[in-house]
Amino acid sequence: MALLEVENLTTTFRIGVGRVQAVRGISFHVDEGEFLGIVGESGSGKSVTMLSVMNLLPDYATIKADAIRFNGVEMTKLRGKELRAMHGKEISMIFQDPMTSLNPLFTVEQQLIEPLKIHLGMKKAEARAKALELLRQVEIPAPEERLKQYPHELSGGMRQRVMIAMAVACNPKMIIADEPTTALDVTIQAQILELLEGLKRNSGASVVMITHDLGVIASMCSRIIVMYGGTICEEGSARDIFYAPRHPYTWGLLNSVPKISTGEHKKLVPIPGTPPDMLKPPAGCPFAPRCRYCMRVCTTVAPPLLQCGEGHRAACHLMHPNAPKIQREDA
Amino acid sequence: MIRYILKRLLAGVISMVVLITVVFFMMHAIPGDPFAPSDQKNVPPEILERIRATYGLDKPVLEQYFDYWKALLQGNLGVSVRGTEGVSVSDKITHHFPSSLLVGGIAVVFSLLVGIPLGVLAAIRRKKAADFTTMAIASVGISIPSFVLALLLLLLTGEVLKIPISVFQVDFIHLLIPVLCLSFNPIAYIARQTRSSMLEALENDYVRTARAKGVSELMVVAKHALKNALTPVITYLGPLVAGLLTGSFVVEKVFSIDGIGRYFVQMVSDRDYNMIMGIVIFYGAFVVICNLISDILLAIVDPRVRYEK
Repeated sequence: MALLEVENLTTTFRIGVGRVQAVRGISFHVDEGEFLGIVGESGSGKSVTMLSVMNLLPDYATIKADAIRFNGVEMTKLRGKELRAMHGKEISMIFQDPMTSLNPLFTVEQQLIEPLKIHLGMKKAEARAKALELLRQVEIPAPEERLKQYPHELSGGMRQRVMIAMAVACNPKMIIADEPTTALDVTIQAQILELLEGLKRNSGASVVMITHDLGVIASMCSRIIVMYGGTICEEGSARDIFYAPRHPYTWGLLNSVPKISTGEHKKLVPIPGTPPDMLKPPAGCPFAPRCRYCMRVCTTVAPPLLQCGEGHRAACHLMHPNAPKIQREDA
Repeated sequence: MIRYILKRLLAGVISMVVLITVVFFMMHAIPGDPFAPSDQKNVPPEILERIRATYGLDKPVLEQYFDYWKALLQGNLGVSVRGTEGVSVSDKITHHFPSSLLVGGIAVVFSLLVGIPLGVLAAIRRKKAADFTTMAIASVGISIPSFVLALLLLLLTGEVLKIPISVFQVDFIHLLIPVLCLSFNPIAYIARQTRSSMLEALENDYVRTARAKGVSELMVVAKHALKNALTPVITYLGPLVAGLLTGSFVVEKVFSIDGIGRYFVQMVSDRDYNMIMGIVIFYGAFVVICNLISDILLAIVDPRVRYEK
């Protein structure tokens, strides 16, 4: 069953020279208890999409959607208090940079007990006990001491664990993790991902993992959405995306992941060109200028998301029956 | 933390030594002295000589400097060389300081109570009417010199409101007008500073984290952002408090407050060496202590400061 349903979401930012169309009419859903990955390069609109769901964007952003339904509640209609009652309680979020996402002037305890006091109405002593338990849950060594420390006294990995503890504090139904490992060392990355997966297994919450790194989500996501230029270009199960991708952008992403397990020394194939200018997004397929299979129609007509299998959709004109049959070239 | 305070204290002591030395020699570098024959034409030269000897002014400057230190280290600021004979410098300071302290103290509290909320208001109502109004007034407040403001306020109370305030006394109106005059500039400065650091703080990731936790907008602003935004204001607090409490020459002169700021200027033109040194030391120590207190406050608010070198 779908926990979150988003229909036709458009998010734009007013800036000095015009309007940046960060997200352009996308629809997707998050199932209950699933691990969904949203992949795309910087500026593809993946973070903005989830921040729009949370309604956490700055006031120069305009969010329009036919529906953003979370657990039967229409999020677009929520204001002020009702919205805050969802934040941290029903949906919580882990951010990219643990160095700046914690308030430097408050101790770990002060920041950790905040959601407990707000949403669960806990008193200070009770909240402190729970905070300690949360720190144990996220496997922080010497949790009693950590509670009294300030963020700058903790390492990056440790801070991200605190962020995770804060996110799971009130047993939310959905956790959005916005590039939670990008700012961390590779060895710490694996630990954090494992931790997230373990917490997800125990709590049954849905996790939406936003990342630009296919490798990060390969092993853990059940379903993947690939975004490009503010639109969804492909969506499917992890198996679909990794073994039967249909969109040339997904091919390009897969070819640019380094493989070390095969032992072969293959050159990484980068995708040439740069992402589209979202102030003036192209009329056709946003990927067309960089696509080696680009046809004339691609530059004028945006391809719709077409079903190409059970739960597998892709937006590419190559899927049209009359289009040339092109197989993905394994680089 | 103790290391931090000791370091600041040591720096303060060094500043004081430098201050005393520089002022002492600059003061003596000006030709003449309080009893220079050219200024005292009616006094016979022999008597002048004797007076100069009494105060040690006949000795070489370097010797006078060391004599001054000797007395100072015993806590003796010397006696005033002008006016009633034998009145000690410390007595004069304790006599004049309370008025400055009273007016300045109220002005400090007033500046903070008005400046910070105005800055916060301007920041959260950014680019709206409240922001433009506050910042326009603040720009005026920063650019208008206190002597102009003092005279305008005097004109307003005396001519328009018909309340004579030419003789200072401790009551509401006699305190209000000089306090307004003294705090206008700091209010403007604090409001601008708070606004800009508040805007910066609100852009931070941790503010988004707080919102994502469901923290109310009021608490996001008043707790998460404001604490961060206040650190530059705390840094400014040291010089501000020192400046206001030690009295303003203009304000004390215009509103005839018998404070130390007004007295100091008079002493300088009288070339009253001991008085000048005494007040300079008093001012200096005050600035050093206020800065130390604001440094300590900053370290309490911002734990990262405690670890800096």
